Amino acid sequence: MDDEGVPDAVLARRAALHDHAAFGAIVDRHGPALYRYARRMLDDPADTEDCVQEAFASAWTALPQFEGRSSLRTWLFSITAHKVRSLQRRRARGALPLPFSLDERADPRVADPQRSLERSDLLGALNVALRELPDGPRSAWLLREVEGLSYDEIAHISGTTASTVRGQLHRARAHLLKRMEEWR
Amino acid sequence: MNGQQVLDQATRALRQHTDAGWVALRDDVVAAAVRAFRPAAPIRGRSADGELWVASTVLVAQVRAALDGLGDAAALRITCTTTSDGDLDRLTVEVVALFGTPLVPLAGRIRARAAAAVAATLALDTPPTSLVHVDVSVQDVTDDPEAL
Repeated sequence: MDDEGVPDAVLARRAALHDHAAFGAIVDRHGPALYRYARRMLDDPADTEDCVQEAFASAWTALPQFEGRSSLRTWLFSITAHKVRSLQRRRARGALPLPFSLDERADPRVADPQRSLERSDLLGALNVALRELPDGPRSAWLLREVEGLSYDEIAHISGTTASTVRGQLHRARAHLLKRMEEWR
Repeated sequence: MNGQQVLDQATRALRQHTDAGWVALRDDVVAAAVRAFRPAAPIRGRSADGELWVASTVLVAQVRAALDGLGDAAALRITCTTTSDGDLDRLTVEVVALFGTPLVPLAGRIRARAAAAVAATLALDTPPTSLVHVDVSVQDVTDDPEAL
């Protein structure tokens, strides 16, 4: 069955009833965004893999209890953000984050090598600037500006208030603007 | 381009970006996740050859698969209760139905499909509908076939 146009709520319901194909469709639909978020929050490929794997395993286990009070996307980001925080706490203090490797910055879907390189440079500069941000503002900016979640959804995911999110976003935007201005 | 425009462009690029790490991880994620434990009760099947124990999650999956393709309804929730001996007491199928579907015949079709799936899964030798008690509950109706 082609699950491309199937609403999230239907996929969640099917996956809750042990439909592996529906769960695969959920993973395909939301996995890239969850990975993108976790990768930039954790700065480490191995931690990111652990985080995303654990998040989806938790989602599979908990799907029968998912009642749709939030969207599936917000629910999955909540689980992932929780895993991110757990990994950050567990991670040895003082360990230096690994830099983004070139092969991770290059997007193989871009056919034009020159455009791909410019795009990689731009993404690389943004990744560096993001890494300089504290966890809260970085998370708020990624969830708002990249993933398009609302202030209330971000507050729910982060266990904070919408006004705190607003402040974190303000701080993140100012820092990123300054860094990208310098990069230009 | 000013700084804001550069930031906007970088943000758009990140929004469209799929990390190579994700592409490599995808299959492992699905395989590992579906191996994760879901709480399940063991249910006893009986046949001439002996007993067969099946996890309730497996039974639910089989019944759900049997109800796929009904066309005018879809399973919302499937629950089973067991006796103290582990025998299936009753199966409850909650469904969403397409608006306008005659509900009594629909319930009959659901009961028959679910009972057949239970009988096949638990290796029951006797006629399934007389042995398997299936309750059908229509929880919702929709006029959107995509919602099934």
